[in-house]
Amino acid sequence: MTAAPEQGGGANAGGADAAERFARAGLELLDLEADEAEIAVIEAADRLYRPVVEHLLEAEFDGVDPEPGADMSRPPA
Amino acid sequence: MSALLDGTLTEQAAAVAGGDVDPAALLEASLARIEERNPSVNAIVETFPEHSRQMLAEAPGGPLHGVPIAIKDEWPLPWRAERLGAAELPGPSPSPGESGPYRALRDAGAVIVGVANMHEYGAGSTGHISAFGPARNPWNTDRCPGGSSSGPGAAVGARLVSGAVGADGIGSIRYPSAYCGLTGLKPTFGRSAMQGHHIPSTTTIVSGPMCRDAADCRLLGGVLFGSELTAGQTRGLRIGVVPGELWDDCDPEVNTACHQAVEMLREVSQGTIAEVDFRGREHVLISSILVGSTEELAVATPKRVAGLSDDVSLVARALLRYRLLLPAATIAKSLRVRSLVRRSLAELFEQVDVLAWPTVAAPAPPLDNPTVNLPSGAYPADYANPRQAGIANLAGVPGISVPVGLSSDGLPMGLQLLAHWGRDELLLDAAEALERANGRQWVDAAPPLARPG
Repeated sequence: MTAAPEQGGGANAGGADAAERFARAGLELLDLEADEAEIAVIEAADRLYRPVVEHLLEAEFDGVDPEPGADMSRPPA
Repeated sequence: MSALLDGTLTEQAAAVAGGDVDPAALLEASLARIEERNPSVNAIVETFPEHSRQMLAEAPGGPLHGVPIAIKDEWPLPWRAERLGAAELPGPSPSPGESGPYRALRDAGAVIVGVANMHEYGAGSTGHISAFGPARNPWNTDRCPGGSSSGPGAAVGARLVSGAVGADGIGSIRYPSAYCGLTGLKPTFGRSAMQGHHIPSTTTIVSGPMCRDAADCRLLGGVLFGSELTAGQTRGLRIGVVPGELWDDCDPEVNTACHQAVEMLREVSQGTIAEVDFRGREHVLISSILVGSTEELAVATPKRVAGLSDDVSLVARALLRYRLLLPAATIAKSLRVRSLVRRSLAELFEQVDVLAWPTVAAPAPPLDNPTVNLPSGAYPADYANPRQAGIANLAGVPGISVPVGLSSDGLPMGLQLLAHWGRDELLLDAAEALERANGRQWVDAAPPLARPG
């Protein structure tokens, strides 16, 4: 993710409760402490990006073959 | 000397090569210019006059002999380790050394005159966060210069130097080029010097030139590529425009300026414009962010992240934590999107020579609130920008941002062109054709603080 979402704006379609649960539970799982200000930023980022992340997770790429060891300097073989 | 400092890189190189100017005098004048003007834009975070003089004393003949250049705080120099615009790093401490861009500049005879500011960790498209304080947009110092190559953008825009080396992982050369009214080339992946970068296994990041015009990008880009970028012609250029949000969800002034520029390019090249599309477009924004911003996580651990002090920005500390929480499936899916987009672009570039859409959806936002207002709503600029530029890094193709106008607020607007892998030269040709068509109106436009007298 890039820099701080400072307002929800047009992409703010996620729920605050879900974002807070995600942030706190995930940090606990990693045993990674965060102060309230950091958690607030994580929640804001999650609210902003969650719709596109969920859209990506729901996408089916069954017919798309991966490119193992792809050379990014060239078009796909 | 002031006029030469205001000139292009090409003019400076020619003046030195022709014996019209003493390169030592040019270096001292450049250092004086930085000392005088940099406080307004905070573009250069460190100068080292003795090292610069030493470089000049030992400079070989070359295409940039004796020409002052700035380099982003993203590569080591023999006398200075990179800091990435940050107070602390979540990985191993870097060391001074000879990076690829340093060697390329040195071997071309260039003189590195300063290290340029950048968005902290390279993790932002605005440049409003840096351990050195934010760089400022020369066109309006209350506005973002763009990031993460904020310092190179502001330095060239303010005429501190005429060329700078930036880096582009999710658009980081093209955003500041658009915001500051520059021409900035994101090379095909792997074509430009990258040795010594702190993410040696990157599949997205490239070094590239940020200059006033395409000729200067050709000159500095050739140095970074290690081979001359020869000029070609654009007759019959086939321009592809993509329907949907890449054009429609842009500030109306940006949309209009870019459409006019595309039409001008078609006319000057006696080319064609076709509406085309590529698969995976709806996932480019998040996939480019996920692929680009997780490459550095190999060195991040919860312990290292937890150990970062308050000298690192709150945003960076929080987002490093957030990245560690992302489900692995999102990365796997993003890599599939990458394959899909690459295959689709390969097919598309058989139909068109270049793709065109605005580099950024709106002009530079305020430093104290980097939010852009688009037809679909208000968004952090960092959310909206990767939608426009991330695809080039995801796919590996070259991209260029060229200035195409000023908004009613007096802020630059940029058009982005993308081309097939390895056709960087064509992008420069197209940019030069556009410059000819508009009489160099926008590449020669100077911000108020850089106007003579």
